Amino acid sequence: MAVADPWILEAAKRPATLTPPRLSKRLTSGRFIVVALGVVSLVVLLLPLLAPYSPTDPVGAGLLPPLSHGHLLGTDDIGRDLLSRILYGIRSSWFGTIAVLASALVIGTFIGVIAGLAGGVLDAALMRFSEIFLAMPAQVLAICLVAALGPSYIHVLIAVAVVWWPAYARLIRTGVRSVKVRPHVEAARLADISSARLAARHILPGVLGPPLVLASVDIGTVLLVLSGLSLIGLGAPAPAPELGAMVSEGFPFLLQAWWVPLIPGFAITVIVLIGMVLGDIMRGRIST
Amino acid sequence: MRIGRLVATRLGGMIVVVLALAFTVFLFQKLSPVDPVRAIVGADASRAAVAAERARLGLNRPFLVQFLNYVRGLLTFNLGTSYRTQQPVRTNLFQVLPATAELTIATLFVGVIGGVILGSISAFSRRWSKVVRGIFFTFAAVPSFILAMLGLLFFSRSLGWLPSSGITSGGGGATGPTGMPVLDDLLHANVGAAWNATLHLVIPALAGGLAVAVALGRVLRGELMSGAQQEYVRTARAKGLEERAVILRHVVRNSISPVLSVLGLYIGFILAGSVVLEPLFDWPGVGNYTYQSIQSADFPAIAGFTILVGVTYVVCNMAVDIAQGLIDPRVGIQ
Repeated sequence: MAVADPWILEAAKRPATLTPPRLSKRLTSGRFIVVALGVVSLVVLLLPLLAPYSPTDPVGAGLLPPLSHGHLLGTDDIGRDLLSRILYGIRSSWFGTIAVLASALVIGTFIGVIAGLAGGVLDAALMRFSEIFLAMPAQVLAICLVAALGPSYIHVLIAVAVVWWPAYARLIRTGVRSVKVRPHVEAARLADISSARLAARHILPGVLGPPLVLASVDIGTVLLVLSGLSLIGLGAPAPAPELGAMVSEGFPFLLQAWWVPLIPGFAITVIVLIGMVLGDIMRGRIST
Repeated sequence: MRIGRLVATRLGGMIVVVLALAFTVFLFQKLSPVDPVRAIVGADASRAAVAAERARLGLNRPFLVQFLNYVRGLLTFNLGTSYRTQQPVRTNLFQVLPATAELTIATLFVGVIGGVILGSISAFSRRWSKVVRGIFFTFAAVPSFILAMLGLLFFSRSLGWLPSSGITSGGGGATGPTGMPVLDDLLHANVGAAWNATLHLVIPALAGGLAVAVALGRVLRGELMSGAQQEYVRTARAKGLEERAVILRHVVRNSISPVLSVLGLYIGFILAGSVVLEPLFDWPGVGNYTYQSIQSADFPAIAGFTILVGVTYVVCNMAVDIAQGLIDPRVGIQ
């Protein structure tokens, strides 16, 4: 498992920038991120269609090596087709990651907007609260929370989202504080609109860019954390095709049939790399 | 004076975070659908036995009282009783702590050496900079367990150079005061055994340390490159200092502080990663203990691990803060 990229920590700590990028630019990057994620998600969603066999049932001899007849990536110890399991595993990891980041973004936005708009004691209290969360090792807390709730994939997603939102709340709050003193917000206030409408229509569009970029940079990290939790036995129970669990279940066979644990591991590496490349592209788009 | 105030504020902050950590873990325990009383006395215990055990654990008291009792227990390292081993979690953790401490030190060693080498090459070498930056990007995506498996296949199975599991060969266990085989064997002047124990460390420390090296290298590269453009560096060059002295005394010295920050953050990363890595090597440490506790839904043990790692993490980061205050006079109190 990995912790946040130092850049993220810097971004979370950074004080309000006095001259944020132009609004139009942020919107286009935001739209770009959503489109790029949509395309990748669609591809991932359709991946299981390529699976030649069931991901959970034994379909051939055990421990067949890769490139065996009918089993491109070989089979595991009880004869399940590795390629089929991996394609389903990639889907569950990817959408789990998207769900965690979307939840973190929603919780972070909610808390960040309240803190940024309210100011004063409420702001200070919410920010100290998020600071305390950032000061504790997130993955260990996630392990503890899943262990308390009981191992299941949903619990893993909840636990990671619960420890993941503070950086987002801080980024949003910083953005809100810099946008809320701008003339257009002042004009909207003079028009006597409700706080909810003010936040949703006049402030949020201008502050969502940086957290969206942070979310895309976080894709790789969250994928790693989720597969780590699955690997230590906290994900979905046994027959489910989860990449992390496939590594730990296959590990006893490493020396006689390396492909059983290693190929799912490589699959994790590849999707993490894809996530990181996506994040890097998006960071480049917003910072230039 | 400034350092005294710095230590005092950081200490205060640390106490708040540790209390928050205790409260979080306590809350998680309350969220758990597993009844701690049933987990101890068994599902078919009599009603009276259940009530007696509940009273003994103080679970019939108000929420706040229970929390205060929990914190009071923590002050004496009382982490409850493990469901799996039926022993105090404290006893279990202290038994396995030295093995993890040894591995963590070795991992940090790999991380620092590797990070300094990678960071310096990428900042100063024209020829290798691109290659190292490729390594930075790729290896950030490679999980430690992949490196562990590749290391086992290559160094242990194909070449037969390194042992594949355990902390020592022969399983004699630690013999001396620290419980860390390498150190104990050195203290007993048993060089052969110390070498053997060091060989056991190589693959796990490399597997865990490479990620640290990559993170450290990236930060160091940024610091070294921006540091080399600072005005004080130009001044140092202008007054005729040798390039080596400029780099060592002005550039490197000012990049130590961010590197320490990264190391502080990565302590938590290494300890959390021990749950993944240690079982792969049958390493008799905290991570392996926690892994087994997870398999048997032993919540008190997992909570104990969480507290132990959380406190270690918070203490290390406080130490980093104070060290930064010592080397960099600009670090003060906001």
